Amino acid sequence: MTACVWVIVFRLNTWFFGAFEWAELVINWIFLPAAVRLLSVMLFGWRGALGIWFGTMYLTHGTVFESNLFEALGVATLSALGPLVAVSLTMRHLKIQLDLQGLTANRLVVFAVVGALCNVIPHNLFFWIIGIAANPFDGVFPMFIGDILGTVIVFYTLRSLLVALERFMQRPSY
Amino acid sequence: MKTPKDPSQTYLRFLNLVSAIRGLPAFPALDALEERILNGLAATWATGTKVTVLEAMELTLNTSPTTVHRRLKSLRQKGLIELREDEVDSRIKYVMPTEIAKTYFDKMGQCLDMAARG
Repeated sequence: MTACVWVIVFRLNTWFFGAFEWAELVINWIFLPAAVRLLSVMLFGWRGALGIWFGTMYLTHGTVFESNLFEALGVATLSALGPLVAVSLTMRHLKIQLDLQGLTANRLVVFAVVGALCNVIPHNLFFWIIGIAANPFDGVFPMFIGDILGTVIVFYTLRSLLVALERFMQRPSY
Repeated sequence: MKTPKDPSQTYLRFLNLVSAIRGLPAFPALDALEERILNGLAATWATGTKVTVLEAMELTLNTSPTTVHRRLKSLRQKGLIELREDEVDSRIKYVMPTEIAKTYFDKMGQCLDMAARG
């Protein structure tokens, strides 16, 4: 399920925000799937990460990584491991229990920032190592902003849906 | 990171996650005193009168001017009021509503309308 949602949101992101791409299909100033990555790992743990891995492997078709299995594997593994490490570190640091008890809105923001960092740094290093980036620093800022903006947009969309749902459920029935 | 084996734990995770997302701020939260001060200011602004900082500090009954001053600072940080200098005497500063404050009053008005309609 995670893989499907990841692929769909990735495609939607390219469709809606393709104009904001900083590097084709790799870095975008608005990256909605960053929220999917975080939420799926927070909900389903390593199974969510596995979904991200399969989804990313599928998405590498038709991109610069298609011709090289090592590169495709690298990007998929980093996409899956990043949120896993971020969620694990943040949960430990904020002393959040396994069932996410103690999670608040402010702490969710911390998860989003750590998630973005754990995604941005390894990815840019990898892009530099395989030679598609001139250096490991140029893409860090746009990718970080993209992850944060994407996560905020998805979180606030979900929040609005929850509020709308609450209002709908509270409507008096005649 | 461990994955919950028990499906009910995944559900608990879902509930806690939903609760955290629902708790994301949509509007700067005001405490009771900030709300009282803002309402007092709104009543004065509605008459077309300008309110100086000193007047604002005396506006709320049974509250020390120091406390009100502190809350005026927090209201300013939350973007609900701004201070504007007098055109003639720069020592005088007026407390003015921001666009956020105007939106806040509009929303409160809409809520009252909805409540009145039942």
